[in-house]
Amino acid sequence: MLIRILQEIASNQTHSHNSLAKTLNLEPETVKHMFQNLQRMGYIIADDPACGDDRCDECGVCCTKKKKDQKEIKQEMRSGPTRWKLTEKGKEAIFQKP
Amino acid sequence: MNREFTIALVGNPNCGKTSLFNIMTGSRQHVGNWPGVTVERKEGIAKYNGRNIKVIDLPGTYSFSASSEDELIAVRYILQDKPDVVVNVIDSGNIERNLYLALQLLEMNSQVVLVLNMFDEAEKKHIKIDQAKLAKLLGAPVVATIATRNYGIQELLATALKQEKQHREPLKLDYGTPANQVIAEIAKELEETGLATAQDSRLLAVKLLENDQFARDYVQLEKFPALQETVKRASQKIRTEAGFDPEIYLADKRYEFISMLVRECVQREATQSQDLTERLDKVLTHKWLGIPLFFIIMFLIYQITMGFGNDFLGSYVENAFALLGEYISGLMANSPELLRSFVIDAVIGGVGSVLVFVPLMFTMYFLISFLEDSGYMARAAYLMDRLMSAVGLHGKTAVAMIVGSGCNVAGIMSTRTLDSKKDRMIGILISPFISCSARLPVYALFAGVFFGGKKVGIFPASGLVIFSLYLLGIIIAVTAGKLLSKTVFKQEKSYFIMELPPYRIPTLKSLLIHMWEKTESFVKKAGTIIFGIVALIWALSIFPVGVTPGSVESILGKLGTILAPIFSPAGFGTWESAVALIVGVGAKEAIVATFGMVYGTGEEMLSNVLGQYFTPLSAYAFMVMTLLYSPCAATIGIIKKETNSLKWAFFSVAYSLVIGWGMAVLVYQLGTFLGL
Repeated sequence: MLIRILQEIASNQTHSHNSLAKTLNLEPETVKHMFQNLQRMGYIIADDPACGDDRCDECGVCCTKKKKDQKEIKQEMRSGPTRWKLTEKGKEAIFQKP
Repeated sequence: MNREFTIALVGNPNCGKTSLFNIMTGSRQHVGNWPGVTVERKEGIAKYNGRNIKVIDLPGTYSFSASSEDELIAVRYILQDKPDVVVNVIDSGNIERNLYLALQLLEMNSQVVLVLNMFDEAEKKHIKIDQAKLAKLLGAPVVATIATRNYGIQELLATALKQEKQHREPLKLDYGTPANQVIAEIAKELEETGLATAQDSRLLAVKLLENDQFARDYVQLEKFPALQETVKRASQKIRTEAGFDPEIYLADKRYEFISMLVRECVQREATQSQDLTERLDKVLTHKWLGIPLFFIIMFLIYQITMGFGNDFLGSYVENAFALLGEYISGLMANSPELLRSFVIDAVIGGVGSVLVFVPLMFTMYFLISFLEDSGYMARAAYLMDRLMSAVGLHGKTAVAMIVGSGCNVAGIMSTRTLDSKKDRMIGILISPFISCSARLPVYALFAGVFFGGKKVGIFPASGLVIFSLYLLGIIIAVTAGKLLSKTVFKQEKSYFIMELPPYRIPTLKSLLIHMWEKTESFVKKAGTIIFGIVALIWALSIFPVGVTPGSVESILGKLGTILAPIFSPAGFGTWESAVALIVGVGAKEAIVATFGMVYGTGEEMLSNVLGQYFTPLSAYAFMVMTLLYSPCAATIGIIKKETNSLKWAFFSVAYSLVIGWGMAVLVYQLGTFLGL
């Protein structure tokens, strides 16, 4: 299951979390938890675009993020996608079988 | 007298454990600290049939792989203090997540009662859990509670007390061959060396195989070389025979079991919102329909922006500026000519001609914010991702392009999330081709003057022209990216997956806030950077002393005259256009301001004047040039900063100048050839 998820990410065949749940014939909630656990174990990492999350990079032009309160930031993050990618450990688990 | 019976409450964070503890113990609580740490220790007394039951509220933990101080306390307490019953509190609405810890508890031979807490919340989410079946499959009692309503608490206490006289075998998960065999070997050795009891040896064996630091410390593995060797050999055996690291292999088997439990015991009816999300996604993220629909949606946005924002709302602001110009002109009738020229030509003519586009910005950002807040822009990123991957670019470059449609600086900043330097370089170098909001006033002005009032089918031609420019920007960016990836930067493969949020109806308040935040920077820029540029241009247009302000004899006019022939093949070889394009490198909005100033009039009158200098074809070529010719000063600065190289900043300016000029010439010459 976890291994299938890593393999799916590595194969670049499925791009969304929900379609992955369908591919693996699992409940989306189960997949969601697996993602969290894979993250805790260090196989995948969530990353967000710098100007799409709560970080202000002080670029000086479009910097409106720093004015927002946490509630607004969370609201914005909820409406954006979360991107998960393989870490080196994740790549190793898939590509460098002992 | 009965001895004190101890219950430990354990569960994931936010499972309602503390509410349960409070309702069980009432005011009979004692709060202190766990020894040696500042983590709060809560214990209290519950009463059942006159018997006192000691209840310990353990810190929340997701699993037995304790990674924080709080989690360590919970795990160590269960292993060392061995409470009479471990009550595993499960958030019924998130049962999959909570079952992971439950399985680990059940793998120990401790008395465990599973509590399906917040049962009402699960019902609200249309989740039905078959308690009896779950209890049977797990071999442990299951009780439903609603702590906030004092529901199921007496049954829980009764069930917990019953465990005192029960003997429960540990849950033996099937980890498959050869894991089952090596787990048994390690567990036996742990028991023989006295490092674990029969109760917890199996779980500790599993944790040692998973290379869990807590388990290693707990049994002090380093002090037992023979055991260490057994674990090492066992891990290698799993690696060789299963093909994966034991950590992920064993967790995988646990999930297989959880998945079976969920299939057998949990029924989940799709809620209305899930249903809607699924139905909308079937269409909006469809393999073939998704991308055309995305472009149709964007096309409609530009149509509404031009039709409503520019033509309808913008006309009121134009009239207001015209009246203001007349009023101030009257007021300053007796003022010195220089001051009057500055206020009328530079401030009202220049800055004013940019500010008339504020309604257009409001409209566009309101619509874009609607798409963002509704969850559609996440799908757009997903679709663009697929498109990018299909042409061999990193999918994440699409994010830089989407962010860059607001402002190229932000788009370039967002390339920071690209892992390889090569991917980043491509993202940085193609971002400036994406049409940002600063170019929109230029398009709106020219499209309004030369294509306003015309229709293509049922659609206004001006909206179509603007949409075509956005599309052209994407095509040029993708093509440039593809060329760069095949030549200068050959790419490595990347792996990722996206989690899409559900659709929702945005609130008006949120839309208005986002709309204002985005437009605010445009207004501020008009009052600061553009004002500064306009003041400089105005100064250049009145010197040397004695020339007619804004004439070809001025410094500005002479500079423009030198450069104008370069743009002749593109159909706009006037000194005014040349000057506007140079000024536009400072800030793209300043192009409109410059025209407003050099033609000595605001945007409302520019409509009449521009017709004398441009044809629809040369106007379109000019817009193409504006789209592609050079990043603005802020973008050039950020390219230098992000690439840490002046060379790449220069490269970006040079190659975009060549592409911009080449495309403008191509459009004009091809159009002329076709008789347009």
